[in-house]
Amino acid sequence: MSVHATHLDIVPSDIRSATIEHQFESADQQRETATLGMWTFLSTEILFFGALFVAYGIYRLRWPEAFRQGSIDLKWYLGTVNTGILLLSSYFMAMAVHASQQGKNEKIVRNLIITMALATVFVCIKMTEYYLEYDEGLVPGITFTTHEPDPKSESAFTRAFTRFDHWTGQAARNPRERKTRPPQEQLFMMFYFVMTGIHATHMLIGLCLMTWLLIMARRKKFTPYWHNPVEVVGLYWHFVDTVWVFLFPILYLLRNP
Amino acid sequence: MPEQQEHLVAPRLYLAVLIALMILLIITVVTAFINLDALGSGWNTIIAVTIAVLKGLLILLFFMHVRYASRLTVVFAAAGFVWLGIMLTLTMSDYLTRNHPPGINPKGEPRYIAEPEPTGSKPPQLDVSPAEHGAYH
Repeated sequence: MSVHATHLDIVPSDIRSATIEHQFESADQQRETATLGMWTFLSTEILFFGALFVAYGIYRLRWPEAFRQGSIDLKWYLGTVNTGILLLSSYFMAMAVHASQQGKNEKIVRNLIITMALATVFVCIKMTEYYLEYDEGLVPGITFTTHEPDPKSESAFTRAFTRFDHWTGQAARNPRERKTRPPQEQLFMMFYFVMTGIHATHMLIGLCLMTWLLIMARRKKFTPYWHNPVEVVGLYWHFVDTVWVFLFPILYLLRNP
Repeated sequence: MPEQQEHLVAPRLYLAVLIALMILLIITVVTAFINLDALGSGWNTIIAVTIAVLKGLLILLFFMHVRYASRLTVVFAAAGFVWLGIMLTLTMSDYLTRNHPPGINPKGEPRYIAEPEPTGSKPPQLDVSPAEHGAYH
């Protein structure tokens, strides 16, 4: 399933050589080097997130009921919507890289803007979740309570979500009765905030990088011979997406024993 | 030296991958709300993680172009996962094989129930009698 860009042949040879750094033999070798370097960095990122996943696994085995309650207390529908948004943004990033391989700068700009808009929506939903968790007494060390807080003390915004939870029948919280939470749920929430927090930081860095790409694409810097920044940031973005693909089920979905 | 052309993936394939990812997302959310304990304990977790691995593979192979990458790049991409696998395997071969089921204390109760402090200040129970245990009085 390959498309051959025949217009590559009509690019004058001086444009080709102008974008190749002197230490490289060809544009191809230059691109390969950039990709390899990025994968080296991503390997360290895999281990960076991997250690958190292993630690999470150990504590989940140790306190399965508390972690289960933690998963139930998160807003599964917000997590699901966010996963969909991130997968969609990854698709548009792939399309931006595809456009860059053909040197179509306008198309890069268009796809990058959609990717960035989706990423912003993701971060906004994530922040909304943090707010709800703060209000529902789920932030360890700050608002965590082993007795669910009285819904009357919460903001109308939070109460609306609580009512929706109740309506879906998957409610962790019944607005009419206050239950107790296992104290070890704090450990789950700690993992949740650290893992999603680091992930959100990666997304913000990705947004900065895409802004840089956007400026370069507006200046028509990318050619079929030199578009390594788009490709490398694309790899980074897909990696951040992959991390979320694993975070989502282990944090939100493991609600059955 | 002739320049090799970069592999261009057809946009249709990207769209197919996106649709597959969305379908997997729906499947994983739906199965999360079905208690699969009838199949054996832990099946919900196994299915959730398997679907995550499938989704990760789709992103890696197609969006990240690992399928079309040089062998050297594939080795570099695999290295991180191999080391993560070593970390997981060695750690879990310990934690999954401790002598009582995980999450259950020796009395068979879920561990989140706070274990009561022993009344008074009785010394911890020893397997050997204090007389045999030289250092303990």
